[in-house]
Order: sequence, then C-alpha cells, then structure tokens
Amino acid sequence: MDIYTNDQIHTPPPLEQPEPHRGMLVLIFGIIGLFTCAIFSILAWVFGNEDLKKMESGRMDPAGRDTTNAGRILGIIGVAMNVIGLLAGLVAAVFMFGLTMAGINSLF
Amino acid sequence: MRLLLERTSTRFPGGKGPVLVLSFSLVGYVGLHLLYESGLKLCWFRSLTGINCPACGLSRAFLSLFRGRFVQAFLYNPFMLLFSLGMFLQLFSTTVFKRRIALEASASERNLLLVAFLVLFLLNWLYLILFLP
Repeated sequence: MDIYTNDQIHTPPPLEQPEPHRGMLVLIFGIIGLFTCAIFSILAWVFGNEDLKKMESGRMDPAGRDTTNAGRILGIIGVAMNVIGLLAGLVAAVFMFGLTMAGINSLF
Repeated sequence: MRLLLERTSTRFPGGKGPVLVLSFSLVGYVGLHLLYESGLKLCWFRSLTGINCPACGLSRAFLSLFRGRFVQAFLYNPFMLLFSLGMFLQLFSTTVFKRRIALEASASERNLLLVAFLVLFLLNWLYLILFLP
C-alpha cells in the first residue's frame, strides 16, 4: 500500500473549459446564404474557418466539427454562385454597353 | 453572457479569401448599379418566386443611408441593415485595429440567441413580403 505525504499530493491545475461550438449557427447561415443573400454565405465561410481553427487548437468544443464544416462548405458554394452571377452580370453589362456604343457610332 | 473587445493574433481570423471575395463583390455590385442606370434586378430569389427575399431592400437602404435619410433606410430593411452594419463594424475593427467584439456565453445562452435571431429574421422577412414594394 502506498503512503502519500502531503508534499507528494498535487492537485492538477483546473483545465480550461473549451468554448461551446456554434456549428448550428454556421449551418443556418450557410443554408440561408445559399438560397437568399451572399452576406450569410460569407459569414458562414468566415465563422466556419475560425471555428475549425479553434477546434484544431482545442479552444472550442470539437463536437460540432461536422456541422461547422458542412455550413462552411455551403457558404463557399453560396459565395461561388453569387460571384458567378455577378461576373455574368458584369459581362452582360459590358456587352450591352459595347452594343450601345456601336449603335451610336453607326449613327454618325 | 457578456460582450468583450478581444485582441486577435491576425487581421484575418476567418482567412483572407472571404474578405477578398466580399471586397470584389462590393465593387462588382456598385459597378453593376452604375452600369444599369435604369434599375437593376439583382435578386434571383425575387425573380423566380415573385416575393421579396430576406435581404431585399438592402441596396436601397444603404443608398438612403449614404444620402442621410436614416429613417427611410431603416424602413427598407430594418434587421438586415443593422446586421450588415454590425458585420462591417466587426470587419473594420478586426482588419484595421486587430480587435473584435466577442460574445462570451454558455451553450444554452447561445442557443437562446440563435432562436431570437431566427425569430427576428423571420419577422423581418414577413415585414418585407407584406410592406416592401
């Protein structure tokens, strides 16, 4: 039987409680962003990146890793769709501007 | 539950990609608004379904805000305007001052806030569907 003296007994330092995850918020932002506005997609992407980094470093509860990752991916898809739409709009605008200018030039 | 102003180790805690895309999108939207002087229909949700999306009226709200018509700006899209302003404030303070507003809350408090956010979001959407032209 081991006998411990007072000097040998060490209480471990209290562990820092990891921050609760916000996977559901990221997922909701990802879904809303996919169907409505790009603001939410960008937020889902930003929050997802931040939270996954925190989970890797042990500062956030890793239970929501899958949900966070899903929200982040939906956010990236939403942003990509919006950027493609924006680029198409810009190309169409430049094309229409060119046609208008060509029409004006042909008049004179 | 409390709000903290915490120091960040980097100017882009969420990565540089989203900030670059946001900047490009803002420049692109402003460019499109300038190119289409007759009025631009950017919202695909409204084009397909015929009803306003939760962010409809935001461009008009910001235009009114820049012209100093604060009440009119608020009436165009109250929730999303405040939400976007908060987001831009956070982005500005993080990238320029490396400080950000953080919320310290337990899991149950966060869930409560998420429910409150969703309720406000839906009420705002209902307001837009009923009252926004």
